[in-house]
Amino acid sequence: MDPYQVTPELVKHIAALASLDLTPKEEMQFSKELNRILDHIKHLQSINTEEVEPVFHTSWTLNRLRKDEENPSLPPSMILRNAPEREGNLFKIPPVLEMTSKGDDSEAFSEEDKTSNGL
Amino acid sequence: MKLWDKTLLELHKLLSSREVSSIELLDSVLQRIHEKEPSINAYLCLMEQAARKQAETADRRFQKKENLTYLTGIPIAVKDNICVQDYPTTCASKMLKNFIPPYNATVVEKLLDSGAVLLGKTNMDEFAMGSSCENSAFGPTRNPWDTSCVPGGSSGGSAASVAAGEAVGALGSDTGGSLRQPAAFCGVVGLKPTYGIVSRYGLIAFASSLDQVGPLARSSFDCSKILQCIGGYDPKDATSVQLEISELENNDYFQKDNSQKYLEEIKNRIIGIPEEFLNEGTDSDVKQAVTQAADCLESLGAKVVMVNLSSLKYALSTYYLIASAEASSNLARYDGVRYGLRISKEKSGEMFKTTRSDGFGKEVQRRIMLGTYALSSGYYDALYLKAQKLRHLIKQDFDKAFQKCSLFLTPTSPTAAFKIGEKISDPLTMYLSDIYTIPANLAGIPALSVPVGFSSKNLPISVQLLAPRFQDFLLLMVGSFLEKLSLEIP
Repeated sequence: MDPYQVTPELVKHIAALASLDLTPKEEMQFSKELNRILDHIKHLQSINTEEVEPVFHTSWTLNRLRKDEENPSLPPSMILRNAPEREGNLFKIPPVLEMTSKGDDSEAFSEEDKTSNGL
Repeated sequence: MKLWDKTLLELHKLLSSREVSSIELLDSVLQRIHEKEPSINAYLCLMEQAARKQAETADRRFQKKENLTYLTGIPIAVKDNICVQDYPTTCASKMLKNFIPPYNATVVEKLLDSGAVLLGKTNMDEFAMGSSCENSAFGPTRNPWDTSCVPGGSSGGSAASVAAGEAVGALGSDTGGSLRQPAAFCGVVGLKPTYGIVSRYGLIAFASSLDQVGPLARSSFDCSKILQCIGGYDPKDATSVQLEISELENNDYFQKDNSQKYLEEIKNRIIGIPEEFLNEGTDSDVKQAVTQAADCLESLGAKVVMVNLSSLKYALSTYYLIASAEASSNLARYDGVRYGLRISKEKSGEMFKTTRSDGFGKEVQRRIMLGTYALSSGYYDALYLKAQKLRHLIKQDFDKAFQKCSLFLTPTSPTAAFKIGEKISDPLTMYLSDIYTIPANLAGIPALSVPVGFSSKNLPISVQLLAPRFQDFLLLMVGSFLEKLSLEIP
């Protein structure tokens, strides 16, 4: 499998990984463009890097931990100002899982859970 | 009174002596903005009311002679990927069209603390991906020197605003040349600081290991004052270097206030021109500008030598793998859930996909695709990891070369500004315009673009200077000898 070449099927797979919805025309277009870019960078494979360590960033700092102290954070109202849809102090989104009549689990949350979630 | 054509230093003197007020200065710049914007389109949002309040506060500071800095009362523009609380920050993307940040970027806090006046948010390539400002979802910015040309990108709006007299200085960001290339196309000075010395907190992430905020202004001196303001350790940025900007200022030659001393610093320095930087695709006008700059440095007593940096041949390819990979990861957050665009659908999965496909422009999608591919199972080692190893080689190559030379001199861009529409349909050709600026981001070193003359078509041409880490002020000092500042603003 040549990493410097993509097929339209692979492009479809990448689009799914990237959560992009491509039309068949866009899939063809991206295949063409990605192949052109990959062809241009193909020369990299001839460089021997077996003994080389990767460098992920250049600030030469190690993980820096902050002190375990309480600090005020932004109030929820400020954060939720940008929410496309909200309910109370929650971001509201369409269902993630299918609801079946049998598996309706609205009772699965106790009243206490709902309150603590701000419902 | 016409004040918009002056440098930050000149204006600081006028403000300090109370010959002009911050309000007068702001009025002059706003008038210029309203005059030029129809033909330039540098701004996405103007903050007139807030700016007026900031200018009044600055005037009070001058009256009381309290907390005065070089930036007090100075009108500054901010690129639209840097968060300013309560004003739209869109990254020139449909995805963030309605996004209002709930906090200020650290660099914005620092500007406000110093008494600067924030004019507005400037246009850019969407999510800072592009080299022409044509990838903006809100229409391109035009080059003040020739409105049929691009201003460069991605900080095209910031560079054009300074060049046109619509701002005295500006903040931009640079991931692969996004400050320096537009600075070159618009004939202003642009600095990409050493990675880690300017906080990225509140800068909307593109490729986190490469992104840096930096200044654009009419002179190297002006840039040094903006850098002093925005630089320094910030605990809110995990990659911020634990150094105060004052520690770097030991190298601030301008503070020594004695040009004879700077000259001593240039004398006998060895300045390298990497052969690889003068490739076939570079215009003769640009090559000539580098030669003239080299002559100028030699006349000041420096020694200019040709050097070899063979790893530069693979910098561009390495960059596009790393930058796209990091972008694909950073931009995964735009899903229509917490902020930004949402295209409503019955299921969340569909909502994510439709929102992302509708909200991102073509170039952004192209890079997300390339980056996702480079990180995906089965290709990670051959593409992403390979690129990170090559980055190590590039960095080592620079380290070695800096043992022989204290600075490098190169073109900033292979050409002067190109026409709007000329390269937009061919991503690869567009990428090539960053070939000289990209290595500094990969190596994490500072790089400065200074205008040195004009092309045969009367467009600005610049050269680039590169220095080892933390030598930002050395770059600015040497740049001040090379810069040919245009006396007339287009």
